Order: sequence, then structure tokens, then C-alpha cells
Amino acid sequence: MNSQADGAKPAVWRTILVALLWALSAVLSVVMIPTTLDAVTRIFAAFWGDGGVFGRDYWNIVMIRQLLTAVMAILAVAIIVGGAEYHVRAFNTERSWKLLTNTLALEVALLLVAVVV
Amino acid sequence: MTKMVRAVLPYAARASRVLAAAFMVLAGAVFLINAGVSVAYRYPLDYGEAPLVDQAMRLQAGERLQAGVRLQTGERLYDPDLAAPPYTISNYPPLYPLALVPGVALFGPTFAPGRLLSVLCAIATAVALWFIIRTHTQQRLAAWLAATTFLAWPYVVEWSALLRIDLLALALSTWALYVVSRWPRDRRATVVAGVLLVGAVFTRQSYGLAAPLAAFVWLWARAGWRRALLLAAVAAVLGGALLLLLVLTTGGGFWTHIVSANVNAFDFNRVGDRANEVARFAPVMLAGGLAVLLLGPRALSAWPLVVPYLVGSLVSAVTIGKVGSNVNYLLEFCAAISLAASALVGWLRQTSGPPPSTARLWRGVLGVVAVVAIALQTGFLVHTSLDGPVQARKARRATERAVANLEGIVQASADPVLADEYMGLLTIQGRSLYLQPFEMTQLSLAGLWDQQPLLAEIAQHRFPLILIHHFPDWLVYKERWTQEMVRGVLASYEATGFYGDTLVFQPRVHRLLSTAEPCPGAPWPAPTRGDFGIMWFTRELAFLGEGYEGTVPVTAVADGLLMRRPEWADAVAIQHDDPLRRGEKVWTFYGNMVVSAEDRSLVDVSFPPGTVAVPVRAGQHLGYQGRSWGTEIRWVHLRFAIAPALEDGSFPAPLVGLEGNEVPVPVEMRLLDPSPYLSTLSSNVMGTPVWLPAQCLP
Repeated sequence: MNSQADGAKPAVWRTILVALLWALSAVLSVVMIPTTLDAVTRIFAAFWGDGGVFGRDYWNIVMIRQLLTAVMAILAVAIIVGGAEYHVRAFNTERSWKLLTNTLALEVALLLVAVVV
Repeated sequence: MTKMVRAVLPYAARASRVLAAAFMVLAGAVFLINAGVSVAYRYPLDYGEAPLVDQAMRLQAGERLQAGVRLQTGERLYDPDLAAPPYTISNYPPLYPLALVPGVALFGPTFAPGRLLSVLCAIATAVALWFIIRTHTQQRLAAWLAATTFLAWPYVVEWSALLRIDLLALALSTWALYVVSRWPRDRRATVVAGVLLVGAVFTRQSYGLAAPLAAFVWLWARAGWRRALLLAAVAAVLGGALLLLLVLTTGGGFWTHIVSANVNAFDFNRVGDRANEVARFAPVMLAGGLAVLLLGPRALSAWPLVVPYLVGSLVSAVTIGKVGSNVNYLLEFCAAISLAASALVGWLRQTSGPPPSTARLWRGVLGVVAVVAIALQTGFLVHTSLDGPVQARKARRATERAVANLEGIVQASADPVLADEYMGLLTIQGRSLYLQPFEMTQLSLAGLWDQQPLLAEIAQHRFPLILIHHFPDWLVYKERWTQEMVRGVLASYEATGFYGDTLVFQPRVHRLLSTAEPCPGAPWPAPTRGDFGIMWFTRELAFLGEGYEGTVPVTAVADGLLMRRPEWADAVAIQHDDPLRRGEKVWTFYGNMVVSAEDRSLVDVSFPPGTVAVPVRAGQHLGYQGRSWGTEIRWVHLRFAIAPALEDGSFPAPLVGLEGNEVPVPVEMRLLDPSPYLSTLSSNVMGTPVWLPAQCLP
């Protein structure tokens, strides 16, 4: 991707592309919350789950899910709000494209991890 | 097109790195969690752990080694005389038991230090693979892939947290490969590599092939034949001297234990099964290995190292066909194939340096595809680990309370105690082993050990306690005990307890149920043998017989009229005059006479489906015990129940769920308690299987 360093007006398609990719990252940041929680739960259950709701294991995973929900929610807000601000400020720059790449790759990776696990 | 690919490729490469990192973190996390829970577990996780602790205890108790391995206590680790007890075998060279000695001295004969050592060695192996790939490709991502795919293998996950020798041997050999990779022309490095390789071989003898071959070929290709011969000379002189020393000081015992005692029967089906399994688990890794093989040494600088290692490890892996072998035979192959696939990634990603040609550009695209494929492969390996070894270990940990009960029984018992899977309950109490049943059974089958003295001891009740384990789906005791030993135990001992799939045998004092004659006061004899006891399922009994499906006969308990419904593949029922309720009719039901795995009925051919009211005599053969998928019992068994006849004398079909009821009748109202008919123990626990000894009531 070209940078905006030459001062040329960005092509419309780039604006649309960035907007679409940001929107996709925003949607995925929300979608990945339950899928990541489920993946973590499955991994936990693979080691400790005893199938009962009165055991210590059950309440441990409830606690882990609650903590993880908070973390994932903060991450989603950062991706949606922070990402939008960043991409507007650094529109069509190398670092903007890199951040978009990293964000989407991370989200897809977490979704794939959830699918595989 | 090329222009667009050129523009997008750096971003795709970046995305593939993030994706790979996510799966690497996943693999690392699963590996570490599994390691943590396994190290923390108090009881044995594998048959092979206790003998190693036993050897370390004997080394530690000897305080110092005399003439190599002779101990002050008079015991020898590699005793050439197998005729005298203890009947133990040290299958492996002494390096790992020696490494365990400090742990035993500091923490006692627990499993945690040895398991931790294995975990650390697995990590050390991953680090060695990282350095090897980094050295050859200068690619950090490829190096990380090598390290983490190795740790993701289900075989590595399973074995790396066991107190077993293999990971130490693998760590030593992979570090030797790193040393020769990094400094191929340095003479001191060659010597160090030789020492490491000898260390690996003196940890596990099968490590004398793949890594030494790879190091030798690599040195020959990169530093010339002199350097390769120096490595061979160091390994031969040092290894030969150690071997000679050990053989001489043990009176030949070292050879007997290390070589003769390891030549078990070979089964090619096991090799085929494992090959299919690996192909199913890791097609991407195998494709990567194949691609490296085809690339040739000109394209790939690491080829002379990686390919001989891969080929050598493949040859070693074939020995998994030995009876009693396990996935540890595949660990070296896991390391080699991880190395190969990562070397391929490293080669594909070596596209730096402007301006990239079109060919290099597409190679870069392939590099991205390879990274994504291996990342996903890592994910599937983790999935397989979570589904397989992690579940197996979880199931094992779930029996902790039962094993604790078993530990109490062992603790209360005098020596010597015989055990198999749970030999470790002796060593954690600081007690030495008297018998390693699997090893001695294999020696007996090979004609290298006379079991008669042990059989005599069994017949004389020399052992206050014998523990025989039976995996739910696998009659493992058939490999671990000779048929004569099993017969001897059944003839002189009785099963008195059942904990964690382990039967507790104690010298026989009770009269056991018999098919020949009823217990005192009972109207009927047993319908079949209950060598391994009886499971009580809410008034249904499962008689656990010793033997494979189709070998333990089932007979009619009394005269009567036999019936086999057309849809019954595995069962018959017989109507009798009720001996306890005069004037009433009663039905005995004989089920699970089937081999579900083969869909083969074991009911006697004289009674085809649809048989009605055929007279049978007491003791008449009806079929054989089998195994059915439709039951909780996975052991060879007979399902036996007694039901009151309906008013017209017919069979109460709801007993076996043949006819649905609007209002289900509670099973305790449908079935009669069979214990008065057989004069044996019964249980009041409804709905939960309860194991009972197959004893006559006094």
C-alpha cells in the first residue's frame, strides 16, 4: 500500500477499503468475545471440568470467564473507538495499514483458535 | 497481478505471523497446563514410572556406586542373575536413574521431580530446535514454529510430563545437533556433540541412530570427512568404553537388561496403526517433510542435517511395533518432522533483498501459505492433544480417591507386594519392587526366564497382596502377566477389592461362586465365572470373567425352557420353576454374549434367534462372555438378571427395554434380587455400579 507522504489525495477506493476493514474489525472484536470465552472454557474443561455446577471447577471457570469478558470488552472498545481515531489520523499510512492487518489477523486468529479447539 | 501480490504480500506475511503466534501461544499454554497438572499429581501416571524410581531409590540407598553399578546393599541395577528375586529389569542405561537420585534424596521417592525433569527436557528440546532452525535459516518465525509444533504433538504432550527417560535422551541428542549445526568446523564443538550423543544413547539406547547419523552426515557435508570421523571416533571410543565398563562390572548383566530384555515380540499391525494415526493427525507436517526431502541439498542448506535425522527417526519409530511399546517411540520423529517442516518455512521465507524476482515473490507467497498451514496444523495437533492424552490423563486423575484407597491397602500390607500399573504405590512408600510383571513376562515368553519359582511362590501365598490392572477397553494384563501367572493368582487368591480399574487379590479364604455347584444354601450355581468379581447394577449382575471375548463359557443355572427373541443378537432367557417362591415361574436372563466390535454373537448356535421353549438342562452351554457397546462395563462379562414371569408365565419384556411402558416400572420392581438364588453378596445401592467379590456367603 502506498503512503500518503507525497501529499496526493487518497483514492476513494482506499477510503472505502479502510472503512470496510475497520467496520469488519469492529464487528469481529465483538464476535470474538463469546467465541474466545467458549474456547477458554473448553480448554479449562478439558483439564478440570467435572460436569457439575456445584464443584469448585465450575466456579473457577465462571470467575475466569468474568475476568476475560472484562478484558475482551476493553479490547473491543479499543479496537472500535481507538482504531477509528487512529485510522482517521493516520489514514493511508504504512502504520495504519499495519495496525489494520494486525487487528484483523488477531481477530481471525482468535476465531480460528476457537473453531479448532 | 504480480504488482498487486507484491503490494499485499508484506501485509499477508504480517497477518500470517500474528496467526501463527496465536496458535503458538495456544500450543505453549496447553503444554504447560498439562505439564503442571501432571507434575502435581501424586500417583503413578504410567506403568514405566515406578521401575525408574525404584532404580533411583536403589542407587540412592547404595550411597555410592561400587565398580560402576554394584551397590553397597548387595543389590545390582543390572543383575545378570534373573533367576533370583527381585525380578526387576533395568531396561535402560543408567543416566536417567542417576539424574533422578538428587530428586529422590531431596524430596523422597515421589514422581514430581522426575516428571519436572521430563518437562524441562521437552522445553530444552524445543529450544534446541529453535536454535537449529535459527542457525540454518536466520528466520525467527520458522524457529518458533519448530519449537511450538514439537510441543503441540499429542505424543509430546502425553509423554513430556511422565517420569520417563525419553525426553532427557531427546534433549541431549537435539542439543548435539545444534552444536554441530552452529559450529561444524570447531573441533571442540564436535567433541562436545559426541559427548552429548553418547549421553543420549546412555539414556535410551535407541537414540544411537537418528541424531548420530544426522550429525555425521551433516559434518561430512559441511566440514569434511575428517570432522565427521572425529565425531564418530569420540562417540565410538567414549560409548564403547562406557559399554565395556558397564558390561564387565555387571558380569554381563548390563547387556542382558539393556538388549536381551528389550527384544519383545513384534507386531506390524501396531506400526500400521500408528502410521495411519500420524497421517491423520499431521498431514501438513508430513507434506512439509516430504517437500524438504524433494528439495535436495542444493536448495536447502539444512538438508544434510534434517533429512538423515528424519529418515533415522522414521526407522527408530518403526520399532513401535514391539509389544509393550508406546508413543515414546515417536518422540524423535516428532522432533525431526517439526524440524523439517520449519526448515521448509524458513527456506520459503528467505525472499529478502531488493529487488525480489517474480520467482522469489511467489516463493514468498508460498511461505505465507506454509506458515498459515503449519499454524493451523499446530491448532489441530493441540485439538488432538486435548481430545486424547489430556482426556486420558484427566480420567486417570479422576480416580485419585480410588487410588488413595489402594494406597492405604498397600500401606497396610506386608511385603512383598506384586503390582503392575500401580507399582508406584510401593515406591512412593519407599518400598522396593519385587517384580516387574511386563518385563518378566516378555522374558518368559522369549524363553529367557524361568517363571516356575515365582509360580510356586504364588501358589504358596508368598504375597499378601497382588494388584492387577485392567484398562477399561484393553485387557492389558494379558501382556503384563503370563497366562500361568494369571491362572496361579486365580487358583490361590481371590479378588477382594476393585479400585481405579485395579483388582486387589489376597490369599483365598472364602469359597467362590462356581458354575459346577451352588454355594451352600443356594438353589443355583453361578451362570459363569466371575474371576475378576461381579458388578452390581441395580439387581443386574455383570460377571467379570478372565479371558478374551468368546473364551469364558456361560451355562444354564437350572433346568428350564429357553427362549431367544428374534431381535436378540446377544442374549437368551430361560424360564424356570422359581426355587424360592414355590409355584411361581421365574426367568433368568443372560445378556451381552456378543463381540460388539465385530458384530459377532457369542450365543450357542443351537439357539438361533426366534427360538421358543427349547428345553435346556442345568449346566448346559449357552454361549460365551463378551463385550457390548451398550453397557458401562467394558470388560469381558456376562449380564445376568432374574425376573419374575408375567401372570401367563411369559417373559417380562420391559426388563431389557424391549417394550416401552407408558409409566416405566422401577427396575427394583421388575427384577428380583439375584443374591438369594446364588447365595452371594448383594448391594443396596441403586443406580450406581458397585463391585462385589464373587464369594459365597459364609
